[in-house]
Amino acid sequence: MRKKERIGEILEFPREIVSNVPKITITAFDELMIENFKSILEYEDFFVRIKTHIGNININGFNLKLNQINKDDICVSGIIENIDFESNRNLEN
Amino acid sequence: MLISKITLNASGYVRVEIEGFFIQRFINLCISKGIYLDDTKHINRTKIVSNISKNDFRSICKIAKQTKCKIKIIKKGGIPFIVHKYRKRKIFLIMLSALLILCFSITRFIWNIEIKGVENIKESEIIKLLNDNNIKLGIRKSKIKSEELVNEIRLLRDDIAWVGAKVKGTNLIIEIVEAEKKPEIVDETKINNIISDKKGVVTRINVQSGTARVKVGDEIEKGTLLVEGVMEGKYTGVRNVNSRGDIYAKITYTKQGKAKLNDVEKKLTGNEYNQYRIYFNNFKINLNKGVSNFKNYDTIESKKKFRIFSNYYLPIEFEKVTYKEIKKENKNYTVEEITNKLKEKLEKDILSNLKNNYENFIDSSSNVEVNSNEVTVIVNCVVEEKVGIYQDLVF
Repeated sequence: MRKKERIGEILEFPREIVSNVPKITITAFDELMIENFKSILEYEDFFVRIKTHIGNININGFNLKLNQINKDDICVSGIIENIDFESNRNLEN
Repeated sequence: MLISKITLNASGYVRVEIEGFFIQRFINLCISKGIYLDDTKHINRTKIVSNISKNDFRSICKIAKQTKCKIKIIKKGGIPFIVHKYRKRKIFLIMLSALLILCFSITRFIWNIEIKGVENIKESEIIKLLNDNNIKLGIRKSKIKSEELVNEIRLLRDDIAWVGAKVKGTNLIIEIVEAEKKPEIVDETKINNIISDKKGVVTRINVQSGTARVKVGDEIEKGTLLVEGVMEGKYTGVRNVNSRGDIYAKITYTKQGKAKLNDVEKKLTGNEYNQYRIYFNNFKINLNKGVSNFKNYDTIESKKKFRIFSNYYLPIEFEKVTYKEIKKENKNYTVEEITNKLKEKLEKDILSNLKNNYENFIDSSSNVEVNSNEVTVIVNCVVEEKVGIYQDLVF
């Protein structure tokens, strides 16, 4: 795994392609796109919890919708109030 | 992600309502099996609504069984379902395809001929010329060979400097550049006389070469010799030359006009009646029946060709015929009124006939004759004009 990452770094590949770290794109305050996600842990109107390879992403808001759920992309749209992350690494250390 | 939406529409989708306790598991299983979920909406703790592809419905049923969820179809959408809905409407399909075929086949022909750049040449002359070459409305586009057509027109008409023909849509555009008249070349070696071509009185003489045979004040007739191509010198003797010169003469033009003292005047009442017609090439359809009920009326026709885009003319023509009612009123004029009116009109006629070729407008006089009900006016216009044409001498 690390070798692959090193080579990717040298060749300047995007990190989300080389390894399975998520890429989070926020457009305005009403659309959030996560690439490289694992699964959905919780889904409710006001709260979405998404599991990725390095931790969880919590999204709070109103009228949250899940658009375009694919094998590795997910788009959350609606009024997004706040986002927080629960990293696995912090817990380990 | 427009592409994924388009593919979902093209392959057909169903909007399903999923109800159960393990909805998160259901979604996760869908993700792991590679099922595309679109527009997922949360309704309550145990219920979501989502769009899935028509082909994935079977696998979703399996997943629902595994996760103990209930599935309910709310809506079906996309092209396959629309096709399924209309599968029994055969006539609709046939007419739709017939319409498409008609549209495509109609655009293979020429339905309008446009002529650009003509000022002195009449458009109808060129259209007649085209008709003689078998180019008419309704000819197939492939039959038009623009190069041959251009050559043909250039050969037949020498007052055209350049012709271009091109087909745009169903429109044949012919562009024409008119040739300017060539200036006359004076052949100085030619020996000729100048003779008069009009009747009048000479006012000015200006001879450049040759000998003048008239004086100012002389009356000239048609054919009178004005300048003779002869030079007399003290030492050289008589020799024949090319004669050039400007000779001006007073020329009288007369014109007669008649008018009645009590005339009928036409007046529009403002009442109108419109009739519409549609032409399919030459086949006429009247949209509303009958003719107007007016006793006296003027008719105004205006035609409009139907076209899709700027150059896609179709063989459909709309015609609007407007009937305008006219009221006839008797009106009495005095002799003075009518003579003045006639005089002005006749003078204008005479001068416009000369087309500004005259030098000076000198005088105009008029005779008035009054019969019981009719006024006859004779107008004489005196105009100074250049006279003389060349007459070649052959030895």
